Amino acid sequence: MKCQDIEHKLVDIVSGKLTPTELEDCRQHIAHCVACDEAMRGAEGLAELRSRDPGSLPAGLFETVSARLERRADQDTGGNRFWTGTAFGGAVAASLFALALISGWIQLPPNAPDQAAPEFIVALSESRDLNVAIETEQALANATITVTLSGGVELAGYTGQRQLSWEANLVAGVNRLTLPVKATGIAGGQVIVQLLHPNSEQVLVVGVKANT
Amino acid sequence: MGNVVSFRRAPTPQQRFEAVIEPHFEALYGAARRMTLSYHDAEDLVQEVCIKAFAHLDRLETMEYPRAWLLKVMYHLFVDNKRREERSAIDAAATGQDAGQPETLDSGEASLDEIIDRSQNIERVLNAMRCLDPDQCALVAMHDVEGVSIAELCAMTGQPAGTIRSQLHRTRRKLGRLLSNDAIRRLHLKIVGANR
Repeated sequence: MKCQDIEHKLVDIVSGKLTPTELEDCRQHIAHCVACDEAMRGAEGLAELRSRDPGSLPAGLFETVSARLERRADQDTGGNRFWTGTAFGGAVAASLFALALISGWIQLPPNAPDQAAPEFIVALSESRDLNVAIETEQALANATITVTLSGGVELAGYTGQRQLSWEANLVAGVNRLTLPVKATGIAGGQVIVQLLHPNSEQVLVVGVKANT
Repeated sequence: MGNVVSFRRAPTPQQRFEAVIEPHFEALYGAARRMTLSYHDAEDLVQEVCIKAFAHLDRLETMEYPRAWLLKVMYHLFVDNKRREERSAIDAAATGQDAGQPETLDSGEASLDEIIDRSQNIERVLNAMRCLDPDQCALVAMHDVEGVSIAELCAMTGQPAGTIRSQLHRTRRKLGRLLSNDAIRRLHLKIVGANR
Protein backbone atom coordinates (compact mmCIF):
# COMPACT_ATOMS: atom_id res chain seq x y z
CA MET A 1 0.00 0.00 0.00
CA LYS A 2 1.21 3.51 -0.88
CA CYS A 3 0.66 6.91 0.69
CA GLN A 4 -1.56 7.85 -2.25
CA ASP A 5 -3.87 4.92 -1.44
CA ILE A 6 -4.19 6.14 2.12
CA GLU A 7 -4.85 9.67 0.84
CA HIS A 8 -7.85 8.34 -1.08
CA LYS A 9 -9.14 6.12 1.72
CA LEU A 10 -8.62 8.31 4.74
CA VAL A 11 -12.18 9.55 5.07
CA ASP A 12 -13.48 6.01 4.63
CA ILE A 13 -11.06 4.75 7.29
CA VAL A 14 -12.24 7.20 9.92
CA SER A 15 -15.87 6.73 8.87
CA GLY A 16 -15.59 2.98 9.41
CA LYS A 17 -16.47 2.19 5.81
CA LEU A 18 -13.62 -0.23 5.08
CA THR A 19 -13.70 -3.98 5.47
CA PRO A 20 -11.57 -5.36 8.33
CA THR A 21 -8.98 -6.61 5.81
CA GLU A 22 -8.72 -3.25 4.06
CA LEU A 23 -8.53 -1.49 7.39
CA GLU A 24 -5.74 -3.73 8.56
CA ASP A 25 -3.74 -3.07 5.37
CA CYS A 26 -4.15 0.66 5.88
CA ARG A 27 -3.21 0.50 9.54
CA GLN A 28 -0.03 -1.40 8.76
CA HIS A 29 1.04 1.33 6.36
CA ILE A 30 0.06 4.15 8.73
CA ALA A 31 1.98 2.55 11.61
CA HIS A 32 5.21 2.93 9.62
CA CYS A 33 4.53 6.22 7.83
CA VAL A 34 4.81 9.51 9.71
CA ALA A 35 3.06 11.53 6.98
CA CYS A 36 0.04 9.24 6.83
CA ASP A 37 -0.10 8.98 10.60
CA GLU A 38 -0.33 12.79 10.82
CA ALA A 39 -3.00 12.89 8.13
CA MET A 40 -4.89 10.15 9.96
CA ARG A 41 -4.89 12.17 13.18
CA GLY A 42 -6.12 15.21 11.30
CA ALA A 43 -8.88 13.20 9.66
CA GLU A 44 -9.90 11.74 13.02
CA GLY A 45 -10.19 15.23 14.48
CA LEU A 46 -12.35 16.34 11.59
CA ALA A 47 -14.49 13.21 11.92
CA GLU A 48 -15.04 14.07 15.56
CA LEU A 49 -16.25 17.50 14.54
CA ARG A 50 -18.49 15.99 11.90
CA SER A 51 -20.08 13.71 14.48
CA ARG A 52 -21.14 16.70 16.52
CA ASP A 53 -24.91 17.00 16.38
CA PRO A 54 -25.78 20.57 15.48
CA GLY A 55 -29.31 20.19 16.77
CA SER A 56 -32.30 21.33 14.82
CA LEU A 57 -32.62 24.69 13.19
CA PRO A 58 -34.37 27.05 15.63
CA ALA A 59 -37.85 27.88 14.38
CA GLY A 60 -38.04 31.31 12.81
CA LEU A 61 -34.29 31.88 12.64
CA PHE A 62 -34.24 32.29 8.88
CA GLU A 63 -37.10 34.78 9.04
CA THR A 64 -35.33 36.69 11.82
CA VAL A 65 -32.06 36.89 9.92
CA SER A 66 -33.89 37.84 6.74
CA ALA A 67 -35.84 40.58 8.51
CA ARG A 68 -32.62 41.97 10.03
CA LEU A 69 -31.09 42.14 6.58
CA GLU A 70 -34.16 43.88 5.22
CA ARG A 71 -33.98 46.50 7.98
CA ARG A 72 -30.30 46.93 7.29
CA ALA A 73 -30.98 47.42 3.58
CA ASP A 74 -33.68 49.96 4.46
CA GLN A 75 -31.23 51.91 6.61
CA ASP A 76 -28.67 51.87 3.82
CA THR A 77 -31.07 53.26 1.24
CA GLY A 78 -33.54 55.17 3.40
CA GLY A 79 -31.83 58.55 3.11
CA ASN A 80 -31.28 58.43 -0.62
CA ARG A 81 -32.80 61.09 -2.77
CA PHE A 82 -33.11 60.37 -6.42
CA TRP A 83 -33.74 62.62 -9.30
CA THR A 84 -36.63 64.97 -8.68
CA GLY A 85 -36.76 66.84 -11.95
CA THR A 86 -40.11 67.56 -13.48
CA ALA A 87 -39.67 66.75 -17.13
CA PHE A 88 -37.15 66.29 -19.86
CA GLY A 89 -37.34 66.92 -23.51
CA GLY A 90 -37.31 64.55 -26.39
CA ALA A 91 -39.56 63.52 -29.15
CA VAL A 92 -42.94 63.04 -27.65
CA ALA A 93 -44.90 60.37 -29.37
CA ALA A 94 -46.54 59.28 -26.21
CA SER A 95 -48.21 61.12 -23.40
CA LEU A 96 -48.51 60.20 -19.78
CA PHE A 97 -51.49 61.14 -17.73
CA ALA A 98 -51.83 60.78 -14.05
CA LEU A 99 -55.22 59.58 -13.11
CA ALA A 100 -55.41 60.66 -9.55
CA LEU A 101 -58.38 59.04 -7.97
CA ILE A 102 -59.50 61.75 -5.65
CA SER A 103 -62.66 62.97 -7.23
CA GLY A 104 -62.87 61.25 -10.53
CA TRP A 105 -60.23 61.08 -13.19
CA ILE A 106 -57.88 63.99 -13.52
CA GLN A 107 -55.95 64.12 -16.75
CA LEU A 108 -53.01 66.22 -17.53
CA PRO A 109 -52.98 67.72 -20.95
CA PRO A 110 -50.19 66.15 -22.98
CA ASN A 111 -46.97 67.99 -23.65
CA ALA A 112 -47.49 70.43 -20.85
CA PRO A 113 -44.45 70.11 -18.60
CA ASP A 114 -45.05 73.54 -17.11
CA GLN A 115 -48.31 72.46 -15.59
CA ALA A 116 -48.26 71.96 -11.86
CA ALA A 117 -47.56 68.35 -10.96
CA PRO A 118 -50.72 66.47 -10.12
CA GLU A 119 -51.14 65.55 -6.52
CA PHE A 120 -52.01 62.19 -5.10
CA ILE A 121 -53.19 61.95 -1.51
CA VAL A 122 -52.73 58.81 0.57
CA ALA A 123 -53.22 57.97 4.22
CA LEU A 124 -49.95 57.69 6.08
CA SER A 125 -48.43 54.21 5.84
CA GLU A 126 -51.34 52.82 3.85
CA SER A 127 -50.93 51.96 0.22
CA ARG A 128 -53.28 53.31 -2.42
CA ASP A 129 -53.29 52.53 -6.11
CA LEU A 130 -52.13 55.33 -8.37
CA ASN A 131 -53.33 54.76 -11.91
CA VAL A 132 -51.17 56.20 -14.62
CA ALA A 133 -52.51 56.31 -18.17
CA ILE A 134 -49.92 56.02 -20.89
CA GLU A 135 -51.25 57.06 -24.25
CA THR A 136 -49.32 56.31 -27.37
CA GLU A 137 -50.05 57.02 -31.00
CA GLN A 138 -48.39 53.80 -32.03
CA ALA A 139 -47.62 50.50 -30.37
CA LEU A 140 -44.30 50.49 -28.56
CA ALA A 141 -42.55 47.17 -28.13
CA ASN A 142 -40.10 46.74 -25.26
CA ALA A 143 -40.55 50.22 -23.90
CA THR A 144 -38.66 50.79 -20.68
CA ILE A 145 -40.72 52.04 -17.79
CA THR A 146 -38.85 53.42 -14.83
CA VAL A 147 -40.48 54.45 -11.59
CA THR A 148 -38.37 56.61 -9.33
CA LEU A 149 -39.39 57.58 -5.82
CA SER A 150 -38.26 60.59 -3.86
CA GLY A 151 -38.90 61.71 -0.32
CA GLY A 152 -41.13 59.71 1.98
CA VAL A 153 -42.76 57.57 -0.67
CA GLU A 154 -42.57 53.83 -1.25
CA LEU A 155 -44.24 51.24 -3.39
CA ALA A 156 -45.95 48.57 -1.31
CA GLY A 157 -43.93 45.37 -1.38
CA TYR A 158 -40.75 47.17 -2.42
CA THR A 159 -39.51 48.47 0.88
CA GLY A 160 -36.28 50.39 0.53
CA GLN A 161 -36.25 50.41 -3.27
CA ARG A 162 -36.07 53.88 -4.74
CA GLN A 163 -36.11 52.94 -8.38
CA LEU A 164 -37.72 50.14 -10.36
CA SER A 165 -37.27 49.59 -14.04
CA TRP A 166 -38.73 47.05 -16.43
CA GLU A 167 -39.78 46.53 -20.01
CA ALA A 168 -43.36 46.46 -21.29
CA ASN A 169 -45.17 46.32 -24.60
CA LEU A 170 -47.57 49.20 -25.08
CA VAL A 171 -50.48 49.14 -27.49
CA ALA A 172 -51.56 52.13 -29.55
CA GLY A 173 -54.03 54.08 -27.47
CA VAL A 174 -54.27 54.13 -23.71
CA ASN A 175 -52.34 51.78 -21.47
CA ARG A 176 -52.89 51.72 -17.74
CA LEU A 177 -50.19 51.27 -15.14
CA THR A 178 -51.22 50.83 -11.50
CA LEU A 179 -48.73 51.59 -8.75
CA PRO A 180 -49.39 50.76 -5.07
CA VAL A 181 -48.13 54.02 -3.54
CA LYS A 182 -47.46 54.45 0.15
CA ALA A 183 -46.40 57.58 2.08
CA THR A 184 -43.86 56.79 4.77
CA GLY A 185 -43.68 60.28 6.26
CA ILE A 186 -45.93 63.28 6.64
CA ALA A 187 -43.82 65.28 4.21
CA GLY A 188 -44.80 62.95 1.37
CA GLY A 189 -42.70 62.94 -1.78
CA GLN A 190 -42.88 62.31 -5.48
CA VAL A 191 -43.44 59.42 -7.86
CA ILE A 192 -41.71 59.90 -11.18
CA VAL A 193 -42.76 57.66 -14.06
CA GLN A 194 -40.49 57.66 -17.06
CA LEU A 195 -41.13 56.01 -20.39
CA LEU A 196 -38.20 55.35 -22.68
CA HIS A 197 -38.41 53.99 -26.18
CA PRO A 198 -36.46 54.80 -29.36
CA ASN A 199 -39.64 56.46 -30.65
CA SER A 200 -40.68 58.10 -27.46
CA GLU A 201 -39.44 59.66 -24.26
CA GLN A 202 -41.72 61.05 -21.65
CA VAL A 203 -41.86 61.62 -17.96
CA LEU A 204 -44.53 62.31 -15.43
CA VAL A 205 -44.09 63.60 -11.91
CA VAL A 206 -46.81 63.05 -9.35
CA GLY A 207 -46.64 64.73 -5.96
CA VAL A 208 -47.67 62.47 -3.12
CA LYS A 209 -49.11 63.97 0.02
CA ALA A 210 -49.79 62.16 3.24
CA ASN A 211 -53.23 62.67 4.63
CA THR A 212 -52.71 62.71 8.37
CA MET B 1 -59.58 51.50 -20.38
CA GLY B 2 -57.36 49.86 -22.99
CA ASN B 3 -54.26 47.86 -22.37
CA VAL B 4 -53.16 47.23 -18.81
CA VAL B 5 -49.43 47.55 -18.35
CA SER B 6 -48.52 45.17 -15.61
CA PHE B 7 -46.47 46.65 -12.84
CA ARG B 8 -43.91 43.94 -12.99
CA ARG B 9 -43.48 42.44 -9.63
CA ALA B 10 -39.83 41.85 -10.16
CA PRO B 11 -38.40 40.02 -7.18
CA THR B 12 -37.00 42.38 -4.61
CA PRO B 13 -33.43 41.84 -3.38
CA GLN B 14 -35.01 40.41 -0.26
CA GLN B 15 -37.00 37.86 -2.22
CA ARG B 16 -33.96 37.00 -4.32
CA PHE B 17 -31.92 36.55 -1.18
CA GLU B 18 -34.52 34.25 0.33
CA ALA B 19 -34.73 32.18 -2.85
CA VAL B 20 -30.97 31.64 -2.93
CA ILE B 21 -30.25 31.20 0.77
CA GLU B 22 -33.23 29.41 2.25
CA PRO B 23 -32.46 26.01 0.63
CA HIS B 24 -29.00 26.09 2.26
CA PHE B 25 -29.85 27.79 5.52
CA GLU B 26 -30.16 24.63 7.59
CA ALA B 27 -26.79 23.37 6.32
CA LEU B 28 -25.27 26.75 7.14
CA TYR B 29 -26.70 26.71 10.63
CA GLY B 30 -25.48 23.14 11.15
CA ALA B 31 -21.97 24.14 10.10
CA ALA B 32 -22.09 27.20 12.34
CA ARG B 33 -23.17 25.11 15.32
CA ARG B 34 -20.35 22.66 14.73
CA MET B 35 -17.75 25.40 14.75
CA THR B 36 -19.12 27.61 17.50
CA LEU B 37 -19.81 26.80 21.07
CA SER B 38 -23.06 28.59 21.64
CA TYR B 39 -26.33 29.14 19.86
CA HIS B 40 -25.76 32.89 19.94
CA ASP B 41 -22.36 32.60 18.27
CA ALA B 42 -23.85 30.29 15.64
CA GLU B 43 -26.62 32.74 14.89
CA ASP B 44 -24.15 35.61 14.67
CA LEU B 45 -21.93 33.63 12.33
CA VAL B 46 -24.86 32.65 10.10
CA GLN B 47 -25.97 36.27 10.00
CA GLU B 48 -22.48 37.42 9.00
CA VAL B 49 -22.51 34.92 6.14
CA CYS B 50 -25.95 36.15 5.09
CA ILE B 51 -24.76 39.75 5.02
CA LYS B 52 -21.95 38.75 2.69
CA ALA B 53 -24.33 36.68 0.61
CA PHE B 54 -26.70 39.63 0.31
CA ALA B 55 -23.84 41.74 -1.03
CA HIS B 56 -22.97 39.08 -3.62
CA LEU B 57 -26.47 38.14 -4.65
CA ASP B 58 -25.87 38.54 -8.39
CA ARG B 59 -22.90 36.21 -8.22
CA LEU B 60 -24.61 33.68 -6.01
CA GLU B 61 -27.61 33.42 -8.30
CA THR B 62 -25.42 32.26 -11.14
CA MET B 63 -23.41 29.75 -9.14
CA GLU B 64 -23.79 26.07 -9.73
CA TYR B 65 -22.94 25.27 -6.11
CA PRO B 66 -23.87 28.20 -3.89
CA ARG B 67 -23.67 26.02 -0.76
CA ALA B 68 -19.93 25.52 -1.25
CA TRP B 69 -19.42 29.28 -1.59
CA LEU B 70 -21.50 30.00 1.51
CA LEU B 71 -19.61 27.42 3.56
CA LYS B 72 -16.30 28.79 2.36
CA VAL B 73 -17.31 32.26 3.49
CA MET B 74 -18.37 30.83 6.82
CA TYR B 75 -15.08 29.05 7.47
CA HIS B 76 -13.14 32.15 6.47
CA LEU B 77 -15.16 34.16 8.96
CA PHE B 78 -14.65 31.46 11.56
CA VAL B 79 -10.87 31.71 11.21
CA ASP B 80 -10.71 35.49 10.74
CA ASN B 81 -13.06 36.37 13.58
CA LYS B 82 -11.29 34.18 16.05
CA ARG B 83 -7.91 35.54 15.07
CA ARG B 84 -9.17 39.09 15.43
CA GLU B 85 -10.46 38.53 18.90
CA GLU B 86 -7.71 36.14 19.77
CA ARG B 87 -6.58 36.45 23.28
CA SER B 88 -4.43 34.32 25.47
CA ALA B 89 -5.82 31.60 27.63
CA ILE B 90 -4.69 33.67 30.60
CA ASP B 91 -6.84 36.58 29.43
CA ALA B 92 -9.74 34.23 29.08
CA ALA B 93 -9.17 32.94 32.57
CA ALA B 94 -8.78 36.46 33.97
CA THR B 95 -12.00 37.74 32.43
CA GLY B 96 -13.92 34.58 33.04
CA GLN B 97 -14.97 34.63 29.40
CA ASP B 98 -14.24 31.30 27.88
CA ALA B 99 -14.89 30.27 24.31
CA GLY B 100 -18.57 29.78 25.10
CA GLN B 101 -21.03 27.85 27.15
CA PRO B 102 -20.23 24.24 27.93
CA GLU B 103 -20.98 22.28 24.84
CA THR B 104 -24.38 20.67 24.49
CA LEU B 105 -23.49 17.57 22.59
CA ASP B 106 -25.75 14.82 21.54
CA SER B 107 -25.05 12.76 24.62
CA GLY B 108 -26.99 9.61 23.83
CA GLU B 109 -26.02 7.07 26.46
CA ALA B 110 -22.65 8.69 27.15
CA SER B 111 -21.56 9.32 30.71
CA LEU B 112 -20.77 12.81 31.94
CA ASP B 113 -17.03 12.10 31.72
CA GLU B 114 -17.41 10.96 28.13
CA ILE B 115 -19.39 14.06 27.25
CA ILE B 116 -16.73 16.30 28.80
CA ASP B 117 -13.92 14.41 27.04
CA ARG B 118 -15.69 14.73 23.74
CA SER B 119 -16.37 18.40 24.29
CA GLN B 120 -12.70 18.96 25.08
CA ASN B 121 -11.63 17.05 21.99
CA ILE B 122 -13.89 19.14 19.79
CA GLU B 123 -12.57 22.36 21.28
CA ARG B 124 -9.08 21.13 20.60
CA VAL B 125 -9.94 20.39 16.98
CA LEU B 126 -11.53 23.82 16.60
CA ASN B 127 -8.48 25.51 18.11
CA ALA B 128 -6.20 23.62 15.73
CA MET B 129 -8.39 24.52 12.75
CA ARG B 130 -8.09 28.20 13.62
CA CYS B 131 -4.33 27.86 13.22
CA LEU B 132 -4.72 26.80 9.60
CA ASP B 133 -4.71 29.10 6.64
CA PRO B 134 -8.36 30.19 6.09
CA ASP B 135 -8.46 28.64 2.61
CA GLN B 136 -7.02 25.36 3.85
CA CYS B 137 -9.39 25.32 6.79
CA ALA B 138 -12.39 25.98 4.56
CA LEU B 139 -11.40 23.33 2.05
CA VAL B 140 -10.78 20.50 4.48
CA ALA B 141 -13.80 21.35 6.64
CA MET B 142 -16.10 21.58 3.67
CA HIS B 143 -15.04 18.16 2.44
CA ASP B 144 -14.41 16.20 5.63
CA VAL B 145 -16.98 17.83 7.91
CA GLU B 146 -19.74 19.23 5.74
CA GLY B 147 -19.61 16.57 3.03
CA VAL B 148 -19.05 18.89 0.08
CA SER B 149 -18.00 16.69 -2.83
CA ILE B 150 -14.71 16.90 -4.68
CA ALA B 151 -16.70 17.87 -7.79
CA GLU B 152 -18.24 20.85 -5.97
CA LEU B 153 -14.84 21.90 -4.67
CA CYS B 154 -13.42 21.66 -8.19
CA ALA B 155 -16.24 23.82 -9.52
CA MET B 156 -15.77 26.34 -6.76
CA THR B 157 -12.00 26.62 -6.91
CA GLY B 158 -11.47 25.86 -10.60
CA GLN B 159 -8.79 23.35 -9.65
CA PRO B 160 -8.56 19.74 -10.83
CA ALA B 161 -9.61 16.91 -8.55
CA GLY B 162 -6.04 15.69 -8.08
CA THR B 163 -4.93 19.07 -6.81
CA ILE B 164 -7.87 19.28 -4.43
CA ARG B 165 -7.12 15.81 -3.06
CA SER B 166 -3.46 16.70 -2.51
CA GLN B 167 -4.41 19.91 -0.73
CA LEU B 168 -6.85 18.03 1.47
CA HIS B 169 -4.18 15.49 2.39
CA ARG B 170 -1.60 18.17 3.17
CA THR B 171 -4.08 20.05 5.32
CA ARG B 172 -5.06 16.90 7.23
CA ARG B 173 -1.38 16.31 7.91
CA LYS B 174 -0.95 19.85 9.15
CA LEU B 175 -4.03 19.51 11.33
CA GLY B 176 -2.73 16.19 12.66
CA ARG B 177 0.55 17.87 13.61
CA LEU B 178 -1.32 20.71 15.27
CA LEU B 179 -3.44 18.28 17.22
CA SER B 180 -0.27 16.66 18.50
CA ASN B 181 1.09 20.02 19.46
CA ASP B 182 1.34 20.68 23.17
CA ALA B 183 0.53 24.35 22.68
CA ILE B 184 -2.91 23.46 21.35
CA ARG B 185 -3.46 21.15 24.27
CA ARG B 186 -2.31 23.73 26.80
CA LEU B 187 -4.48 26.41 25.27
CA HIS B 188 -7.42 24.09 25.39
CA LEU B 189 -6.81 22.93 28.93
CA LYS B 190 -6.41 26.45 30.24
CA ILE B 191 -9.65 27.60 28.67
CA VAL B 192 -11.54 24.66 30.07
CA GLY B 193 -9.94 25.30 33.44
CA ALA B 194 -11.13 28.91 33.40
CA ASN B 195 -14.67 27.83 32.83
CA ARG B 196 -14.91 25.80 35.99
